[in-house]
Amino acid sequence: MHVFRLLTVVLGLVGLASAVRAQAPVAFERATEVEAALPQSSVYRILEDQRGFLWFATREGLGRWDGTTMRTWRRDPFDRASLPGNIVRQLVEDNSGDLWVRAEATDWTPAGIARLIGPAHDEVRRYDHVDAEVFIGPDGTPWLADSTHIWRFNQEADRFIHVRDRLRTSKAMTGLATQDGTLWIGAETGLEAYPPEGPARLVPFDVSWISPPWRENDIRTLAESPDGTLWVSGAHLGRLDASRQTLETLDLTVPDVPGHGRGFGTNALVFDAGGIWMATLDGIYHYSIASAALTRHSLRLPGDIPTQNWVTGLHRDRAGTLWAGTVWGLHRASPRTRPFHLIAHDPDDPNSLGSGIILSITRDSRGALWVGTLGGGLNQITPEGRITRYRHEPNDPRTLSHDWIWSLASDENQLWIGTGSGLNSIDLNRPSSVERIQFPDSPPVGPAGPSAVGLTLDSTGTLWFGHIGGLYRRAPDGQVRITTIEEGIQAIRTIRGGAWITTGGGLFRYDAVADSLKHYTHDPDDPTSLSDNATMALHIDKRGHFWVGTQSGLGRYNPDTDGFIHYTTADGLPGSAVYAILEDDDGRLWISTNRGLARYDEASAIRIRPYTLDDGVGNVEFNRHAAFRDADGTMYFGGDRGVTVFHPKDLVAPARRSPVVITAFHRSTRDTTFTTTYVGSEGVELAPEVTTFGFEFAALEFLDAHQVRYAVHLEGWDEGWVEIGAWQERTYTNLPPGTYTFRVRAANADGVWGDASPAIPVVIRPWFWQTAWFQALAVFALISLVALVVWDVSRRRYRRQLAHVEAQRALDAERARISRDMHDEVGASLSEIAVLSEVARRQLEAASPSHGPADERLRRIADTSRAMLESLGQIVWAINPRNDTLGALVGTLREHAARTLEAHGLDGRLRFPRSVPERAVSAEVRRSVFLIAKEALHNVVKHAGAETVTVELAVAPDHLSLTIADDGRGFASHAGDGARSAFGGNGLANMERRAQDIGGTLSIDSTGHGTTLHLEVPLSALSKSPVDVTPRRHLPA
Amino acid sequence: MSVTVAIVEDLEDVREGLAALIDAADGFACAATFGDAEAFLDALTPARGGGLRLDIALMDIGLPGMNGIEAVRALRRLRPTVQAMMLTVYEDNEHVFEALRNGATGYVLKTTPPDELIDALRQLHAGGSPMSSGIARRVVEAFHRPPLVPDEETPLTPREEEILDLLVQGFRYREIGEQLFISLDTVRTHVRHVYEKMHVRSRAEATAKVLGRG
Repeated sequence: MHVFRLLTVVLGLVGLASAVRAQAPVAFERATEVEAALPQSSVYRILEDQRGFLWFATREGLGRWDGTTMRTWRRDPFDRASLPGNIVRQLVEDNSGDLWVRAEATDWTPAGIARLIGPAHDEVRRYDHVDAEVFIGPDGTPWLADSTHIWRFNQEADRFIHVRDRLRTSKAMTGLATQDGTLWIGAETGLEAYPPEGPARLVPFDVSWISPPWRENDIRTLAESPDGTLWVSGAHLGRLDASRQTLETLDLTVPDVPGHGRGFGTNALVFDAGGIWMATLDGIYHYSIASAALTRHSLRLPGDIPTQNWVTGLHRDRAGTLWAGTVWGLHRASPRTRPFHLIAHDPDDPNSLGSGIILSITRDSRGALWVGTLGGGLNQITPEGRITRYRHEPNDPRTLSHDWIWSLASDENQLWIGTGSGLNSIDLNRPSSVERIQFPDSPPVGPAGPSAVGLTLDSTGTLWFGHIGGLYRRAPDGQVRITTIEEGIQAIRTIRGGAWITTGGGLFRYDAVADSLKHYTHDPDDPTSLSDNATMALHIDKRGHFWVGTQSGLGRYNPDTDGFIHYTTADGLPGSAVYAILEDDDGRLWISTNRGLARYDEASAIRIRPYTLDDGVGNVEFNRHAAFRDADGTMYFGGDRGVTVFHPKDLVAPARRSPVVITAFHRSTRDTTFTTTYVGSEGVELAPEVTTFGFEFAALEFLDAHQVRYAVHLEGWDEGWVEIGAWQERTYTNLPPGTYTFRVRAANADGVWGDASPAIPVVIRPWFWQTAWFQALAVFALISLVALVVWDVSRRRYRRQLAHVEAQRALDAERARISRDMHDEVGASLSEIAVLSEVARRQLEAASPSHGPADERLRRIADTSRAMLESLGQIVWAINPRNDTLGALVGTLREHAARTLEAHGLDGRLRFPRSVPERAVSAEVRRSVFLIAKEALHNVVKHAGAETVTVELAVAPDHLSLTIADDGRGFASHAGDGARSAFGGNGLANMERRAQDIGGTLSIDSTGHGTTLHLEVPLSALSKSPVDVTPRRHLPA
Repeated sequence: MSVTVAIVEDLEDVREGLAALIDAADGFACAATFGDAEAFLDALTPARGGGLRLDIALMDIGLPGMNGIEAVRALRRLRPTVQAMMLTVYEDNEHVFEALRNGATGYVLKTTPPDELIDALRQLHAGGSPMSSGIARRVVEAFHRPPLVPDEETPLTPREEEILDLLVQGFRYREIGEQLFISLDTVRTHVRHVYEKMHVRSRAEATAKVLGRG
């Protein structure tokens, strides 16, 4: 920095207006962007509230500034909940965050006191005290002082209550409570003290030195400095002594300002480390307590307005910026240093550059800075700041060949100069003359054509440059070697064994050993190729990366692919054309473009950070190769308005001081949008019909607010911080019900994030059908419904079963009735016939033994009756539902077989299962099986003539089989016999039909050695009707 | 001394026919015939002048007025030693089982040929009782039902259970005897005992019902 700092000091001393500007202690400038948003330009009071908003009291209401947006409060003539008057003369904030204003309807016509209830300040209330001054009392609440009384605000009663009477009747101009609890009233008639204990008193002070037109007793402003001193100002500046008994007025000599009502009337006092700033009717004064020096700061307003320095409001914000409100506008003074400076051309100043259009910059070994211009020749700036211009003199060969200086390079004793007409040099030991260097082999140089460009000295002292015909290398001994390159050379960077060379037709890599060139060009189809054939800047950074600037951006050479990685405006470059690249001590690259500078910082979140006119860069456009870095890191970039000078270490964006505040909250349903201006930490609760909600916020950054960037995080929705750039709002749509937390934070221009705003809970209430209890209820209802349906179906099925069972029971009852009737009626009669015929036969036999035929017929009547009864009995057995089981069937079959065979003296082999499963068998099956068996046994005993009969019954899981086998004659060999008719006639047919009816099969195998009958009945057929009459469970009918 | 038999049958021809058959049989005498149960029971009730000596009552089930089953129950109270043989048209009949449960020890089909009828009477008098597969099935059911009056329970012996089981399966007395290596008479006696136990059980249950313990 040394050389640079020295330079600036020197330049500042010699008063070069266009040269590097000295760092002014305080410089006021118009706050144009705030002024443009003010409700009115007369700013009477400036206040920074607890949340960080900047408030301006004007002649047309209040304005609240958040850095980008002004919100205004005005008087609405038909709304009492608005300001009582538009001219806001006083503005204070109480300890609860409410703002209090004193308004006037027209100048000096009081309109009353109003309160803006914080923190939203949306609600405005008026109070009845019309002509009183408002100030903050000892308890931090608002107090009033009118001509006769002092009042204090009572929050519960929402009105001012009387505290005490004034010492004397006069207009109260201001009031202040000091830390010791004393209340001070500044009035037109002097200073009154009302201590917490003891009597009130008037404070005497000496005003003998004050001359008219000042009203000597007028007290306008009271302020307590950080060290506890009470400062008083009106027509003078004074302070109370330590005992606070007397007021010491300071005998300050101030300029005389003519006119009625004006004077050294101080409207505001602001303390800084060394003194007091005073807003007066004659500009801003700074009084240094240590030196007792008074300095006047004149505010510059456009036009010659005599009252331009009528300063009414003064405030220093938390960033240190002094804000000064005048009757005609708003000014501010930033404590920030100005990092960018400009070495420019001033046509009226011979000690300035010969031209503002800069083509080349270098510093020689003697410490002078050389600046080559377009048309303005070469300029030498000595460390002392003296500028010497070197120009082309047509008749003097010891001058420059041309006034266009394309390139500069310097070694120990020589400055090499690439002009528009050939290579020149200056011997630094005799800098008064210029030597024009001729190349015998070179074609003649045309006027103003770029020649001897890209001057570069390598470690051997060889000078490399581009010239007509290609690459020139001039050895220290004057020997020149030329390598042909057709394209116009722009810049050269030597590397070990060669050089990188930019040209208008691509990039070359020159291999000095092989004396060969590798040509890199742009290929639209190859993204790793050069971005543009118009290549300009070259740089090899500390880490060995090779960078190239083209008309279309910045490229970094990738040795792995022998291609390039590109950075363009899309990555943050302010312009496409990359003219020059410098590197600072921290390895960051500084790049000049058509639209400002850019810093490339691999380590920063903002990799490419632009610096433009807004940052004070000074140049709009920069020029190719016009860049130089001093050993101390100071950088020089030449453009078309001069040389921009800066040191990277000065380019640190101020840290964020304020939290981000929420300035508005929107919530929208399908039909309406509702906006609130304040959201506290209690958050918001949204009805389910809210489809969209959003926050607006502000960083409360009052300088360079456009460079602030924001990030938001809605916990529960966003996965993390979402960077949204300069947008100051965030909207969310159709979020599911739930609880979210919103935070926002802001970053300064360097990408350094400040603290997050306080968390704001957002609760989205669910629709009633989205609530857990409702869903539980719905599930319960669904289950109930399913259960109801199941129950109903079961009940219906049960009823059907019941009906079926009832029907079955009715059928069974009918069957029982039929069997009973058969028994009682038919059976009784038949048995009577049988018995009677037997009795008759015996009686006949006893009476006349010879009545053979009659006896025989009676016997047949008896037999037939008995046979009929037996059949009837079997039918009754079959019908009776009591016997509808497999066990009954098997038992009866066996008993019948045994009895039949026994009755006929046959050897019966009965093979029946010891036990059978208890399952139902329908009457039809039971009867059919029984009758088949009976028929078969009947045939065997009647016709077979067998000795042994085997009856075998088997119950398998799926069928029942019955086999009846005899060892008789069989019927096949006895055609015409009774057996034949019995088996082959109706008997056999009946048996087969009965078997078919119940789904069974019947087979008869008859040989001369016996007959085997086999019956198979599927068990599924055994129970054609369900007999399970037991309901599985009981359900209410 | 012949076995005295009384016939209770509402059909006069049948009644007289049966009386004639019994009188004609050796060792049997028809002591009296009745057209209804009331008259029969009166004849056995000394209070009403009845003093009829009797071994077997041959009783129709379907009678006018008091039916045969009730008559059997009354008979068991009046003359426990008199065997009641039911006359039935069908063997497998609810009424037969009910009568057996209530005190009858035998039954005979009305269509039974005269010789077989006399044979049945003789066996009954000798202590045997007929039991078909269907009747046996019901007897087993009756005993397997939990008794209504536990303290008066008269469980079947294993042998009786065995015989009943075989009867249910359709085995004849003779087969059962062969299978169990016992005489035919022993089988008959066992069956008689089964009947007796059934009577006891039936009476206990009837008492329980009366006393409201069921």
